Amino acid sequence: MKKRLVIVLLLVLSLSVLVSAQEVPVQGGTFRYGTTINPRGMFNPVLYTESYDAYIIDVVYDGLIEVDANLQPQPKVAKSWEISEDGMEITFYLHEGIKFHDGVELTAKDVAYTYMTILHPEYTGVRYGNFNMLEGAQEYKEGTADTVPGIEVIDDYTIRFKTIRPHAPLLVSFGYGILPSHLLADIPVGELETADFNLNPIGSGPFKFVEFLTDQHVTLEANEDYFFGRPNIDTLVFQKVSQDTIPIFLQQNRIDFIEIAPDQFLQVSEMDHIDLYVYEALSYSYIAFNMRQARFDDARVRQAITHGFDRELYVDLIREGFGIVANAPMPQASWAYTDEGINPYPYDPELAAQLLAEAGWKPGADGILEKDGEKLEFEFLVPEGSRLTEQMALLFQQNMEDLGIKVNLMFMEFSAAVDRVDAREFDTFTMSWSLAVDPDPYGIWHSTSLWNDPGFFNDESDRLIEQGRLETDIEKRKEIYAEWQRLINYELPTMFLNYGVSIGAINERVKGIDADPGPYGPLVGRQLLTTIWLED
Amino acid sequence: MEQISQSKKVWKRFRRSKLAVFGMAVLIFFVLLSIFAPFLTDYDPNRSNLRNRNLPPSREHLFGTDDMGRDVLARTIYGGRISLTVGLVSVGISLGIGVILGALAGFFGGMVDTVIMRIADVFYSFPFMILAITISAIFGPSIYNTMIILGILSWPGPARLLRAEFLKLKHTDFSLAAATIGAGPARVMFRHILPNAVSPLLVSATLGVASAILSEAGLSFLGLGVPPPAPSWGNMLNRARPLHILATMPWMWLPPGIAIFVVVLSINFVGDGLRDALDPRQVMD
Repeated sequence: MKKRLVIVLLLVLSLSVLVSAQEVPVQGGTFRYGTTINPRGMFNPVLYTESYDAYIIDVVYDGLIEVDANLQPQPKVAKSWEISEDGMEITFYLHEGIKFHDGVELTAKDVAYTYMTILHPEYTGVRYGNFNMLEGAQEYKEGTADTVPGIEVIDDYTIRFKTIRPHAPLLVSFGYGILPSHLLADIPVGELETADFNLNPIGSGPFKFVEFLTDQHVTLEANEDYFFGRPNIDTLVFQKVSQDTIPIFLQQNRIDFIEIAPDQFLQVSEMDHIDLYVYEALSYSYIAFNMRQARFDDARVRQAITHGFDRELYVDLIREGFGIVANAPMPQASWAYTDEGINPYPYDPELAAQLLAEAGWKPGADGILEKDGEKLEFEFLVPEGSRLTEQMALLFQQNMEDLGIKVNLMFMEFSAAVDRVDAREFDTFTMSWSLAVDPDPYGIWHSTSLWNDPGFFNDESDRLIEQGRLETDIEKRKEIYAEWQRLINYELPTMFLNYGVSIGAINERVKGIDADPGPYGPLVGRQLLTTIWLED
Repeated sequence: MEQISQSKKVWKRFRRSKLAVFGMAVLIFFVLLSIFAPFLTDYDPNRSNLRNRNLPPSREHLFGTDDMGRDVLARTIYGGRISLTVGLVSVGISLGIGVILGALAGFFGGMVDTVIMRIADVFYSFPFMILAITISAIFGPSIYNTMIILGILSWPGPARLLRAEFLKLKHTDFSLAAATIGAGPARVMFRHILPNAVSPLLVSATLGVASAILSEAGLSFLGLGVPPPAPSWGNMLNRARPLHILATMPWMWLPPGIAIFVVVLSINFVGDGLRDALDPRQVMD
């Protein structure tokens, strides 16, 4: 007990030395984080699927580890860990005395509950694939075993995970927020999805959940007893803002941070009290084809559509240069990025027409392409909320019309669009992926993954993805992923639009921001929201 | 002969109102614009050209271009086609339903009247925009759905009007006479009474077109009316919603805004003029 106090004191001292060189943090105030899309209200770290829920999850829960702005794993709930020689066993040592928001202590039992839930046969989420290499996971998932030998609680503050094969992204897989088992263990895993808990989350993170009002805000308050030190701000509000009104909200100091659209850059840059940060994000946007449909099952059709869409024009003019044309699902911000052997699919309507003709699509009487009496006409699902996406959709529709393809635009509220995609009731749709630190594509692209929305089932791809997980040498792993990117780049289960370049707008009253943001932006969820402070 | 001289009289009275004549002229102008749209502009209203986006008015683009590089003049003219069509068709639908139900209610009275009028009350008591938004959200935005929604939600107006006329007219001598010589109810209703109830209907229909155009604009402004890329005045305003466009690019929203304003005002002038001209109590000179 005493020892910890000394350590804490030392920490406080060293921190204050660092800070006093600049300014002393002030406590208090409300920080308003603007967002243009509602969270779904699935504030559960093992069940959520949308980034807008992750904003809240990131500050309500703590994981065993966390990823810093340089994408390196850092200790969090686990104060340290040991990895065995062969890399197949990892032991986490937990801090003692971490408390959930309801005052109950967080122990190894809660960690075990969190990961056992993901492996449970009735688990409805999408993350099983991230842990299927744990010893006994498969048997447990299939219901032939009641326990998972690969998850072993040694004592209250020690937990060990064992894998049956090497797994390169093992350590970074343990960032999921830890769930309070004392509140959830009684709920059958199959019913967790509808549990009231998801709307009233309790974690051990820096902020306590207060309320969520759709189309208005999510409110959180500082966790006074936060193990790693109370956040400087008192209240954190995620404020829903319509994209059109962002400049007004910034001008009138009604939000402190928001990602703005490129066409707002000029206007916002003229506001003296707003600082702008531009950063390459770990994300990409895409148009997915439903490969379960015969017309999209032909790679030539997917390639033709990609050749037929002027993505340079989209990035240069609609996105006003804020973006990088993408041809594979590995952003430049990732270490696994490559452009070697990657076809850039330049805009080439003639080549597109030729590919479509080779695939058997011939112009019909009305100019629309036909094959076996079926017209090349499909619905394009476009989530609302972003004007740029709408403009992109209009350009896509026009480019396709030039090829003799009829595209029917279907604008839809984001959550409703996600539901349609989950039910596989779509022809094509556009969305973005915000990626994890490790480039492992298993969760999105393996043929067994529930997130494989396009329905891309390819043995070679599966083989490379599995091989990439086994390889712990980073250079060799990079080569495997390069190979995989070339395959995806040829197959194009989705048309890659652009890698994200985000623009963060921050009110200058917000202090303590890292001037050089990493790919997660100047406000990496957990860390910065606890250390920033507000000037009056 | 009787018919001709009657309409001549009406026309003469209508002409006395300068505002009504002005409104009529403006309307004819917009209708002609809509009909001859393809001859008036070389630009395809749906064709975007991003390299020419956000251009202010110039010789090539008299009203400038919008955020997708489309000619605003072309979109305003073609938008008139859609806005006016939506106005006319939806009033047609509401008249169709309203006339039949209003006539039945007024003619037969009793239970029939009670049932139909209570249904009308139910339709009346719903907040129009909320119901329209809900229906549009369920069936998806399209030109046809917009017309049908507007038509179906506004039938109680003409129905009430016609019911009142029928109540008044069914006891007149000419309808009793028609019934006495053996005309069936349908014949009495639609051959004898209806022609005499036309004038208030005409006024109400005219004003209905104006309100339908406004409702379409409202729905399209909310993204629930005419879907892109087709232009309507409402969805043109919708696209001009971002602050930087409102503040610095007025050419994107002034033309459709002024068009809605002028057309709706003109229709109201015409409606008022018609009401005065058709009023039988007006003293003839």
